[in-house]
Order: sequence, then structure tokens, then C-alpha cells
Amino acid sequence: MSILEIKDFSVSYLGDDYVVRAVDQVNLHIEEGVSLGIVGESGSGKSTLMLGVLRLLNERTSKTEGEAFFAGNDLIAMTRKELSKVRWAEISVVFQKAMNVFSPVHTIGTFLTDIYRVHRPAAKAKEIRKEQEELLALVNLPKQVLKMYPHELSGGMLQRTSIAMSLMLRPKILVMDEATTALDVITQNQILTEILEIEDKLQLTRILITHDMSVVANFCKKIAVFYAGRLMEVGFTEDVLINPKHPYTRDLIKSYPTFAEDGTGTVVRIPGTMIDLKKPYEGCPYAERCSQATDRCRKERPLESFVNNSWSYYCHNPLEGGRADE
Amino acid sequence: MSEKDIKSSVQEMINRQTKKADQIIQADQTILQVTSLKKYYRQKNKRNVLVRSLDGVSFELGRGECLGIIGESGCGKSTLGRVLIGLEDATAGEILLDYEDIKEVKKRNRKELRRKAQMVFQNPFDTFDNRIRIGDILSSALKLHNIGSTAKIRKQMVLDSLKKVGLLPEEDYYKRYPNELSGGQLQRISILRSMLLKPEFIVADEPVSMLDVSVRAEVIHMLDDMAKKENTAVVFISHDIATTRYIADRIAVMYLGRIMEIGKANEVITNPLHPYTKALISNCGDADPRNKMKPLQVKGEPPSPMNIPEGCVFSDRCPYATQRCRTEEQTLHDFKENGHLVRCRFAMQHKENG
Amino acid sequence: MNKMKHYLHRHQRLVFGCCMALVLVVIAVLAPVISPFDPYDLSDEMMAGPGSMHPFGTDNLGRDILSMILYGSRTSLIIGISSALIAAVIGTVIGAIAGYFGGKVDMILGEIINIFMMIPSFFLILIIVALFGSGLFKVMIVIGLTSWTGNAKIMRAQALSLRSRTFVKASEAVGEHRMKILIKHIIPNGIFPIVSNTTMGIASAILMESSLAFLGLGDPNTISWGQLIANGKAYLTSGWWISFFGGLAIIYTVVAFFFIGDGLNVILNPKIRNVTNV
Repeated sequence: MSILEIKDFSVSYLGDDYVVRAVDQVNLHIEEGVSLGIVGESGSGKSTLMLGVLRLLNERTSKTEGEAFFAGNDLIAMTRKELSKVRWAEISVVFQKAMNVFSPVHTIGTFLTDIYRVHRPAAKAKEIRKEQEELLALVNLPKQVLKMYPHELSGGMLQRTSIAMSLMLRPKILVMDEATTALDVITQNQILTEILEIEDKLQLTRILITHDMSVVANFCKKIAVFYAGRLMEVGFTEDVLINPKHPYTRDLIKSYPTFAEDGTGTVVRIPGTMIDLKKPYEGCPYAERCSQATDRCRKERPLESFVNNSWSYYCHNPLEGGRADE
Repeated sequence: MSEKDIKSSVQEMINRQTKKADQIIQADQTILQVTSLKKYYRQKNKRNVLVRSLDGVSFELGRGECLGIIGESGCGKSTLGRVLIGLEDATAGEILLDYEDIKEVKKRNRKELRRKAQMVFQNPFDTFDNRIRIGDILSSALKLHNIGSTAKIRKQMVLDSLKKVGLLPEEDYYKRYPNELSGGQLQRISILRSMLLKPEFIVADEPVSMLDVSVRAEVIHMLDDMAKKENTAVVFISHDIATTRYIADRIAVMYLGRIMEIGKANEVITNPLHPYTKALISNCGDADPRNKMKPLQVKGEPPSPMNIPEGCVFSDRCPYATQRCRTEEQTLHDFKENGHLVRCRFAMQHKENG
Repeated sequence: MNKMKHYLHRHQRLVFGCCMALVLVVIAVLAPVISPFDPYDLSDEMMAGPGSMHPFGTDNLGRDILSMILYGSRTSLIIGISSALIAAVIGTVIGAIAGYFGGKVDMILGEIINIFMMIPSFFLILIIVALFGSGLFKVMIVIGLTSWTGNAKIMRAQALSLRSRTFVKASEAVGEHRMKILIKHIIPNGIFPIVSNTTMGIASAILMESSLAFLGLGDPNTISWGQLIANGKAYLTSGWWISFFGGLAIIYTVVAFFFIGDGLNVILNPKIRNVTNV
């Protein structure tokens, strides 16, 4: 069952004399309980997509088109008041710099209590405390953290606390926007492993936005690959990462050095740079850098093609042999 | 290229690297000798607390060799880079550049040290003053070190070098301003500027961590190619183990200002001896879902360099730690007598236990 | 054309201030041409009120107020601009050195800045003028020498943040001399707030000169607005126009330069700029 259904969704940033199509007609179905990793390089629109869906963008400088249904209701058509009930309570977001929200002069406990009171004004102090300790236990933090100040916690602990905070109202969807990127690999894996457990416990659907494919390969069931504001390929990680249909997916996989058992791995460079989104273009945005490109790719926009009902791609000349295809 | 070709080319690369590493050790052409290097900082508000950023680092670097330094943030790897090229002075210890103490070189002629020891920085978007054209940035570096006698010659040298590294059309790049270029292009220009001076060694501090994955390869290849051609030694600092392995001949693993393990890149990665190295490597994922990682669990996060544990510095997180580890300071040992050093007395025992 | 309109709209203050200042400059340059009388000329009509002959009236010696104000603009502009420039140069150099070199240099220069900030500068100027006399040139130098501390503080802060930027470190790593980095990178990249501060400094220097003239410490041989006000002080009840128009001229000039400074600040200060653009 789809928990979040994004339909024909576009976001444009409006400059003084230009328009940047940061997200371009994206269709994406997020199923309940199926964690999705959104992957792309800088400028791919991976962050903008979720910011746009949750309407967290500045409305004066950006324009949003399309629909995004959460539990049958279009988030884009909602009033601000209706939306505020959904955000955080139903869909919560953890950003890369989430730890910056903690005020340095207050203890973590004070901060959490204040937020809790906004949403549950009638709650008793004892209840709040119990709830907070449960929350911290969820992310493997001791309750002593409540008495501590932000500067006394390490980066990993702070990011854990912000995840705990985002789980406070037991949301259905958790969006992690590069939330563990700044952390060390060991800490990052610890946190993500914990999140996998929490997901089962709370029946949470996670959307992980990252530039790191290996994180998606290890921690997400499905993957969506973005390039230049467009969705390139989406499907289960086992399918997409082993037998990519889109040349961009393959090239991106190959640009990561790997730990293949037999040696140093190979690194392939993708020639050229991403197209300038300020200028309008026809066809596929990857055509200029793609080894597979034909004239058709430069003229005609590829439509969604399905391998099966959970795996689709946007390409005129899909790969047959997946990773090994040259 | 088919899967098979890739495999064979990889094998070839391994052979080449191993061979090269052997050659270096045999030829004994050491360019850099670092002995018990220490760098302590004092905190601003708590002046009696010492931050021990580097705490006794020793290694040697051969001419044309690439040494990868890996470790998590705060392990002192960036401090090491700055101290090595003399941007900061060490608290204690010795750095011999071509058998001469860099303090002496600096005293004698600061410019000479700068020419011999170069650096590539992490953030390419901030490496250049946006008001100055690329061509002027590059030529002024040449002028500074009296390379090329006239402005015209220098311009030609810059144009040639731009062309050589594939920044085409070179006239165009010469005229452009830094803010008109992408991160990958800027980082290549940054490497180019360093290499123009023909340094003895170059410190690359996380040179690709801020770049998009698709352009990283290009930058790494360029650094590798130029260094190999000029026989320049490289200290490649990174938290990305896979990338480091790709370029480095040898790898040193740092933790809390010390080297925990050092050896040939393949040795260290495929056959890690220190529990910390094992943890670090096992936590690196692969983009192939068939190779799911099996991370070695390690407790907590690294302690702060203000508060270094007694005994082995990793003992409070190590899954194999015993009482002895918590009291006995560990030194680097060469168990296999093949230049693969490890700072753990029990390294060989863990190995047997799996 | 549309872009121009957009620009004018967004930077109203700057444009307005520039127009006002331009008028002032034209007046100062053309003073001998447009003045109806010689301002030094003592006529028979003393204390004449504003009328058709003397639009702004005359003073107790029969001098034409309008002509005096037109000529006075020269004094004000020269003093304002020169002393603000002196303050800008001293402040920039000292601030940049203190911030970039840091350590002991910063400590010593920082204390010097603090000392100059603590000294009541007006009092200092009074003493100096009283001791060494009050030529136009001396007044200019004295105002400049006492009003650089603000610029120094700003430049020091700029240099402190620029010092940690990669391109400064990279220049050091390439082997650039630190003095050269100071001139080539630190000052040009940090100068913008100084530019707007200096324009505002022109306004305060003009006020300072007027105050000195008002207290009778200006150059007695040059006509200035402050002097005019001081003269009119004794006749406030019988001849209000003597002081009034001089005051008006000062307000006009100060407002003009303040607008320019404020407008430049919006354009040149990236923090404010981002807020208005996003």
C-alpha cells in the first residue's frame, strides 16, 4: 500500500532572470514499511524533492507543481493548519545539521520538555519524563543525557538525540536528509542499524536521502536514483544495484571505489559535468555524458518504462547486461 | 570492458603497486623521515588542558611513494598534514625532508620549504580568491618561486600545463574566474598549482571528499598521474578507505593522534591486524547489495584528544581488550617482518581467533 | 530597462543618497558661479530677513547667508571626505594587521584601538586645536586621527574570519609572503564594510567640524556651516535665519551620506544581502 504518493511533482527555483527546474515531473510511490533510499549527486534535486513535498521551501522564491498524497490527502493542496498537523506528527525530518537546533544554554531535557508541552499541554511532568527516557532508550542513549548540555555530547549522540526528537510523536514516515553523512562510518552504521530495529518496532517507513550508494545498498529496501532533477530509475536495491537498467545508475555505481575481494576495485569517471538547469533542454539530461546516447535521447524525453511493477526506469536505450554492460 | 577484463586489469594494478612498493623499499630513497612527531594545543578558556592532536607519529616516505592516512574525524590526520608541510610547527619531534630538518630549511629559506612541500586542500570552492583569474593565480605561483624568466614564458608554461591535464580549451580556463568553475575543475587546478612548483612531496588533505562521486575518479587519477610522472611523494589524507586504497602504495591508520597500523595498502586492507583497523574496514559498505557488510561492533565513539585513555588508546572500545591492554602502553610491532607494523601486542592472537 | 527599474527599486536609499550628494558636489564646484554675492562681502543690509534680494537673509555683518552656505559646502565636503579617508586608511591597515597576524601583534594593536576608543575624542580634538591652532588642514588631520577605531574593529573582525579561509591558507602554502597576502587577499576581500562605514564617517566628520566651528575652534578664515550657526547663536531671537539655514544644510549633507553608506552596506554586506534576496 502506498503511504506517500508523489505525482507529476516539480519544483522550480525562481531567480531574478532565470528559473531552475530543480525537480522535474517526478512520480514516486513510497510503500508502507519499504524503506527508500534517494540517491543523487549535488544538484540532482534529491533534497529539494522532499522539502517540496513537505512544503518546507520558501514560497516566494520557489514554485511547486503536482500532487503528493499522504494517506489519501494531497499535502500540496492542504491549508497551512492542516499541514502542520501532518508535519512532524506523521512525517518527520532529520537534517544533516539537525544537532544545531539544540540551544547551548539549555539541557537536552529542558529542550525536549518544551517541545513536548507544545503538543501535549496537559501532560504531567512525570509522564513527560517517562516518555523522554523511553525515547532516549529507543536510540540507545542513557537517561543521563537529559541532564546534559549540547556541548557535552558528541556528534553521534547529538544526532541520535535529534532522531529521538523526531520520533517523539511516533510518525509514520521518517525522512533522513544526509542525517548521518557528517558522522564517522562506525557511528553511522551503529545509528542506521539501530534505526532498522526502531522501524520494525514503530512500523516506520524511512526515506533516506544520501549521496552514498553503499549506505542505500546496506540499509534500504528500495532505491531511487536522481539526476538533474529527474528520476532515472527506481526499484528494489537488489534489482537496481545489481542489474541497473539506466546507464547513469551503472556509471554512478562504477564511480565508487569498491572492496571487491580480488583487489583494488575499479573507478570509472563520468565525462563532462551536469547540464545547466537554468537553460531549458530537450530529451534526457544525461544524454551529453552517456555512452549509450543516441539522437533520440537528445530530442525526446524518455517516459517511464517498467521492468515489473516495482522497478522502472526512464531511458530510451536501457542496459541489457546491467553492471557489466559497456 | 567485461567483468573479466576488469578483473585482469585490477590484478595488473595490484602487481604494479606491489612491485613498486618493493622497489621503493629496496632503493632506500627516502624523502621524508618523521620521528615521534607531537603537536599539542592548549584550549583557549581552559589553559591547563592539553589537546593532544598528534602524540608520537613516526614514519618514512620514499620518493614517489603515496602514503594513505586514514582515520575518523579528530584522529589528528589533518593536523599531521599541516605540520608536515610546515604550516604549523610541531610541539616536539623531527621531520627530515631529504635528510634535513624542516625547521632548519624554514629558517634558512622559507620559500624553499614551500616549494618542496606542497598541499592540496579539502574545499576546492574556497581554495582560490574569487577576484583573481585562474591564469593569474597559476602564473603568480611560478613568479613567486622564480620559475620562468618573463611573464610571457610563465603564461606559456601555465597554458601548456592546463593543456596537459586536459583542462581544454586552455586559453579559456586561463581567463576564467574561480567561481565560474565546478568543484572537480577547481580541485584539478589546485593540484596543478602545487605540481607546477615541482615539489618533493605533496600533502592532499581529503582532496575529493567535497566532490561529487562522478568527478572524484578524474581528480584522483590526475593526482596519481602527475605525482608518478614527476616522482613526487604524496601523503593522501582521507576518511574514505576505498579511495585511499585505490591510490596509496602504503596505508597508515590513525587513531587519537597515533599510528595504529601501517603497511602496504593491500596488506593493511585485506589482512588488517589491529582491531581498530578491522572495525574501520568492516564498516565500509559496498554499493553491491550482494556484499552486505558484516560490521565489527565497536563500543561508543572515540574519546576526546583532551582525555586520552591509559594503556592502549583503543582499549576502552576494543572488543578484545583485556586488563593488560588498559594499563600497558602499546608500541608499533613488526610481527611478520615485512614492514607491516601494528600497535597491538595481541594482534596475531586475534587473527587466530578470527 | 526592466533590470534597471528593479535595481533602482531595491536600492532606493542608495540612489536617493547619491542624488543628494551629487547636488552637493555640483554646488561646491559651482559655488562662485551660482552664488548671488561674494560671501566675504560686507553689505549695508545687516540682519535682513529672507527676501527677494537675499533669499536666506543676511547676518550681523551684512553677508549673504545663501552665498555663505553655498561656499560652506566646499569646507564641509573637503573636511568630511579627507578626514574619513584618513580614518579609513589607518583603520584598515591597523585592523587588518591585528586580525591577520594575531597573537602578540593583535594583543598590542587591540589595546591601542581600545585606548583610542576610550579617549573622549572630541575632548582630544579640543586640546589639540587649542594647542596648535585651527587651520582647515589641521582640523582635517585631527578628525581623521581620532575616528579610525571603528574601521579598525571592523577590519580586524574581517581579517580574523578571512584568515581561516582556505584560499589564504593555500596562498601561505604556495609560499606567498604574509605581507603580500595581507595586501592581495585580506584587505580587498574585507574592505566592503569599510567602504560603507567610511561614507557614514563623512557625515560624522562634517558634524564634528561644525561642532568645532560652533565652539569657535574652526578655521576663522574659512566659511563653514558650523561657524555660521555659531555666529547666529547670539541673534537667535532677532535673526533666526542666520543659524537655521546653516543647520538645514548640515542635516541635508549628513542624511545624504548616511543614505549612501546604508545603501552600500546592503549591497556589500553579504549577510544582509542574502536576507533581502532570498
